Amino acid sequence: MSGWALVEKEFLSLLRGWRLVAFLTATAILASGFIFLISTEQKAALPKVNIEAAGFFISLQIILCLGLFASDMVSSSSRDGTLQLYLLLPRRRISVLVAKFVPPILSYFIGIAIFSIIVGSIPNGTAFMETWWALVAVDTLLFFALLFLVSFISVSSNGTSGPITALVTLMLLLFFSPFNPLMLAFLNPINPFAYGYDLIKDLSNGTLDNSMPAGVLVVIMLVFAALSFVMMARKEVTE
Amino acid sequence: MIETSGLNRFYGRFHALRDFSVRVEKGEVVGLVGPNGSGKSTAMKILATLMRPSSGKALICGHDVVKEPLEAKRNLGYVPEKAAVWEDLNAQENLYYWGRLHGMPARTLRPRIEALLKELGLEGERKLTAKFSKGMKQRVAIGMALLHSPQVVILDEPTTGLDPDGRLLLRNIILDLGKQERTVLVSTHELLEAAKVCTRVVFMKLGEARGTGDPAKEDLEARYRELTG
Repeated sequence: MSGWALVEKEFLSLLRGWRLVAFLTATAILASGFIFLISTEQKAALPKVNIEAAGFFISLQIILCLGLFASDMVSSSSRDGTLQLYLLLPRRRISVLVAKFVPPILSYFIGIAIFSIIVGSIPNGTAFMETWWALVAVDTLLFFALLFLVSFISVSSNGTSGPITALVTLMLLLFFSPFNPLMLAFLNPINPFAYGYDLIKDLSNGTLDNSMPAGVLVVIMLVFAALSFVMMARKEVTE
Repeated sequence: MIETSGLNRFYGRFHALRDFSVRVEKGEVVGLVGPNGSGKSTAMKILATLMRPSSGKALICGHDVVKEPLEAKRNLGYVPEKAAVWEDLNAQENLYYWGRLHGMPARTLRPRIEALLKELGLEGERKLTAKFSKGMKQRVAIGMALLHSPQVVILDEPTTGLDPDGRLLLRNIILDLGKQERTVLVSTHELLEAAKVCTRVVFMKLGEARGTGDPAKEDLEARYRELTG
């Protein structure tokens, strides 16, 4: 029961914070762009053309959810002193971190639900649905890999805004890197967005034969989940 | 109820707490008195499981704070130097979620919260704690520390930010805790405050416990000078 109280408290904070308004506004803008994209003449070429475009929109949604809700989840508590409240609870620290995952996960799936409704409502959307769900599966893998990467950095930072700003900048650079090989192509072997991009490319070509990108994303997810939990367990309040 | 033996803590190469050993029995109100940087907050944070000792042992109600932190925390109420409250919740909600997260059933929680808010002079306050003054936030933090009726209460410079009314209120709360046979450890810079609420005082300097004083029998100021001068 008391585990739910933690989720309930995080949810109440989410409802009262500025981040919810920012999320709804940005999601509405992204959804409008998505509707515009699939309602143009490109829809004749659906699914091939729109898979990559839809993948691009979902990736932007992922950055939005992680930037707003995940990057600051533990570091903001360090800044305002409430981290010690969480650490004083007679609860395992892993459960605190899991409760902190609720807003980013919830916001991601709300975004996906909105996009799915849009896809389902277009004239030839039904034919696209199967590919759409494959795309959602690929991007969900990317989302969780990045969620744990971001949570690790957030748990490791000590309340200063520097690491968070650097993280958001890095995320944007890594996001654009697969589209423009001149930028940070050398980072692609360790860039989760590059693997997500490869999966989406495969999907648009009608094949998902290469399991390597998905495997790498799963490894990234597991490694950073473990590192996040270890860092949380070792977290101290020194201020 | 509180017991530490040979507690040490390093920050890098800086030795912040040196072989700190203290025992606080049930019903005792013990004060940690010393200048800034004397290791009071470090010792309290280790007892509150917010920090790990570099070496040594600390027990809360017989539970090792490193090996059995959950059991230790169930028996502990901690008021930090800088009041920490959830600012997007009001006072009542702060106490409600704190109680729920300590596993208190709702039927006992509601009347307990009402009684505590009244005792703390916060009844009827419905605005978010973000709009509270420092002293009001401190009162909420004290309420959160006492809500689950812990056997051990640790207060790190609790009078910081409190107005005279708040100080008097806090003094009465601490004296009541002693009468209720709770174990209280309180840090302060103020000898007069310590003399009024403590049954024993431990003087600290440069991370060391230099000795103790009995407010009922000794002049604390003279004893402080003797031990830390």
